[in-house]
Amino acid sequence: VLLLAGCAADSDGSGGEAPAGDEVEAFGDAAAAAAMDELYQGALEAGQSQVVVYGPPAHEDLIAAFEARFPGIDLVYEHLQGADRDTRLEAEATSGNHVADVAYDGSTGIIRLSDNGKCVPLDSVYDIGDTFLRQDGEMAVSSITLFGLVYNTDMLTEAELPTSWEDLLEPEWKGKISLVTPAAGGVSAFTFAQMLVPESANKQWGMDYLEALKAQDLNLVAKDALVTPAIATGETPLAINVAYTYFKEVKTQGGPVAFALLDEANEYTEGASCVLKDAPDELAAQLFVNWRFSPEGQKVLSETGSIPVMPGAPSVEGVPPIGDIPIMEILPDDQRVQGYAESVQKVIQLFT
Amino acid sequence: VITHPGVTWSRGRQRRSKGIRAAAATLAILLLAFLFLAPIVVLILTSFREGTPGNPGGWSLDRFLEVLSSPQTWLVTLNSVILAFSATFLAVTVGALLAWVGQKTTTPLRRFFTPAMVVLMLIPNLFYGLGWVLIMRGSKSPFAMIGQWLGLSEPIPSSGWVVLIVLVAGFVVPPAYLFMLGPIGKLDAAMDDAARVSGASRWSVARTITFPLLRPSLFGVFVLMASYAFSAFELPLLFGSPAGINVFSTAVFNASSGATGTPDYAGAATLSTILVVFVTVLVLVRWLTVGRKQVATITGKGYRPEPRDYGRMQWVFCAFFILVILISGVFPILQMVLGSFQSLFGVSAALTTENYAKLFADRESWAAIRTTLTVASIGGLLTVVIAVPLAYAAKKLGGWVRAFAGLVTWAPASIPGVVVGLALITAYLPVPGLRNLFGTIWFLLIGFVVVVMPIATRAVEGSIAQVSTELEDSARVSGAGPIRAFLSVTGRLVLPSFFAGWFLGGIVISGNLSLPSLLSTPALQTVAVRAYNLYSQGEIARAAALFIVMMLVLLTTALAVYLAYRAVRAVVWLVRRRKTRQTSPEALKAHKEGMTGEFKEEMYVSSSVGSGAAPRGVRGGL
Repeated sequence: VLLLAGCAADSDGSGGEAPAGDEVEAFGDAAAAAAMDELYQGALEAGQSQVVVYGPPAHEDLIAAFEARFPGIDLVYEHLQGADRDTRLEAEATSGNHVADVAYDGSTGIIRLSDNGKCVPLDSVYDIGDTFLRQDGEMAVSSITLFGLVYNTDMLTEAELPTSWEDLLEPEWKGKISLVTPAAGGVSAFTFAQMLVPESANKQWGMDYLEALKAQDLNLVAKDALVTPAIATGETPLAINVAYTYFKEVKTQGGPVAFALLDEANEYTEGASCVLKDAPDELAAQLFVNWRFSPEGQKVLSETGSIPVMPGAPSVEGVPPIGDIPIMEILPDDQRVQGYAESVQKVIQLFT
Repeated sequence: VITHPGVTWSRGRQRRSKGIRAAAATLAILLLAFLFLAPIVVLILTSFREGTPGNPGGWSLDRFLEVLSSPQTWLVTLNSVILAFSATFLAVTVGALLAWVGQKTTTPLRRFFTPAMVVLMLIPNLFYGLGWVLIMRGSKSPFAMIGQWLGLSEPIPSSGWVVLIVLVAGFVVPPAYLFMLGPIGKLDAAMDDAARVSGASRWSVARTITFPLLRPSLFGVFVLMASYAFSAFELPLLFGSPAGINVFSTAVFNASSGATGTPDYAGAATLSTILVVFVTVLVLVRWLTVGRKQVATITGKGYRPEPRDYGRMQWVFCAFFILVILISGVFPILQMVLGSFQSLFGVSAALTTENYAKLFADRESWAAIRTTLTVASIGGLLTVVIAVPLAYAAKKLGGWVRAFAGLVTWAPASIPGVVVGLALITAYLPVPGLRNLFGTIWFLLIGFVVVVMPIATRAVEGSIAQVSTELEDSARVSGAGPIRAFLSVTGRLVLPSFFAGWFLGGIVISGNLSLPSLLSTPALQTVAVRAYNLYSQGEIARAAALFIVMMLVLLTTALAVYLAYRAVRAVVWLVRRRKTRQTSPEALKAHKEGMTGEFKEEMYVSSSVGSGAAPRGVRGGL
């Protein structure tokens, strides 16, 4: 598209540099469009025809939008997170056969990669700011994923929902709550660990609370992706710790489900990327991570259920602005990796 | 000079034979050590290492001792042992019974037993588990409807020990059946007849003849299946975790996946080491109890594996077979087929072909099918090509070589895939040359050979062990060299098992998830990885559609290979018959007179057994 736009600009005698209106809208302004075009042309000239991302699978709409915007560059996601990704990256480094260009994960995982010297700073086209561009510019947070309650609308009304973590201990919820199993780590284990660790302002629930919650005959589901379908099929009427992105997927397909938040301490994760050191397609990788912050990238992210972080980005339908949501406090970056390890271990042991 | 009736061997030839034997032993040991022992040793050492594998780091006993002293470790160990042993016992009993019914009785539908089991083998465990989730859970599930129809006040349990054991056993029955097929098929009915004529009861015959003959195979299959059950992950997660039953594989996965903040490689390695110890003990017990005895049931004269009529009892056998295939495949497959036509898996009432349309338009899915067929066929073949000489060398050399081969090729079966991948990377990456293969299809194939070897070894080992050495000796006496004797006698007899091992290996490779996720690259994505990505994203209906397309592709490929095999056999038979007809009667008579009477019998038997489904004219021609 950019190439065609460039040809069009040449033909009308405008000098070939001015981006088309479509690109200005997609990238924000003419300067950003020119910078993105430079990265794109550079990637093509260097023969970089793909961006390989190690992370959770991306929504197909996101892949389609990127590939339509930048023809000739394929966006290839490989489902690798945590130790699997770290092991693969170590092996690639040892063998000299580098494959991955970008790592995408929650911020805790990317902080670990950055601390271990696996990332390079983002050559930022946009003014992202310190809140979302951290680790000396190596970790770029382009969206936030919100976690909350999902309920079956054939079995519950909004008025019947719990509004606090304490409400979940009421006898009426016994045997009626699903969640992804904390025994496998992941969001449930991390959320419960946050409920044990004394951050500056967080309420402390403690192990007594978790033991009482466990005694509610919880339906522990194997995978995140299976929790909302379990509610849609009526396995239980209510689920906790559900990512809005997974809920949206099922809702779009017509499932009888709705999303709600507690009045206190809701969980969220940051969607963080880093361009990897020795990435074989580094220019294409820089292009992709920057594109996530562009108006077009942010719009696609919001449409797939992630909350975009850039000022002026569209909000996610059905979700209040992130500033209006009571969220659970998390430790600062430099304390996070070690700060929760012991508590996560305790949670896993409790549910194992 | 050694003399045998009709032949003499010189001392030179005897020395050469010894030299070949020593070279074979050395080669076998080196291959075993490189492929299997090195990763296991590395894995055990990782238990005592700090830092990430392959990087500089200190040595420490702390994490090792911490894991061993944790009550959780021993709780999940106990759960794993209960699950692995009970599910395997059930599966091997059912598998062996069906293998016997299919081959030794005239039960209706018996000709469908093996094809049905082969089809069931194609079902990946994630697909099987999700199918059962749909059957058992949800307010509109078949189980809920049955509960309502029966007027039950409480829902039928959809998790817990009974559900978990039955479903894991249901998943293990097809391979257990296929592994028991060979040994049971080769049981000689004449032995039973002899005992029955002597006044023994049916039970007494089973206890004193049938079971002792089958014991090595039964125990071997039990150990193999128990090893795999130890590493089972998805089914315990789907049906054990909701009831609070956690097993070894889950704990190892949690430790190695960084669930606690940072990947705990030492903890994962320690847990895996406990598994290796378990499997080592199992294999040693098998070796000490039955493994050292040579059991040969294919002999020369009078070998008659004929089925017989067991009267009305056969209808019970038939009903049992139908029940087993319903549980092991038909019910979950039907649910998954239905789910693949729903826009929202397990919920939508209206059916749609949208998932298939998206799949056919998806370049990554087609690339994954091509990659899977390539690695499954080449990986399965490589594995069985290594397994046959290894099993043969183990039988010929006996003693500690056999025990060593059995032990080291077995261990990878029990270790969760993610740790096998980790061990392979750590063991092979320091090797110059091999290091450069990382990220290519060859590294992936090496990994698959290691993981699939226990299956392939098991597939050919039983057949090789059951071929009496007298057959090969006869060939040697007639002047054939050791390689020719192996190829023309044992080679032909184990050919069906060779193909079975190749096929089973290919199936296991095509369903393996954790190894390609660590060893492959995006360009080498397999169907299992692609389907897992769709499933992780909540696209369960599309994942189901992909699994079904893959199963159909595998089934078509298997059928095409089988038909090609039959066609080649038919051509060979026609060529041979023409040659036999062209041979002058005088020359044929002279040739026959040159043989000892006993060896003529041996040739008859070897060709009839080795060919399995050989056209009758082959026997007539000889």
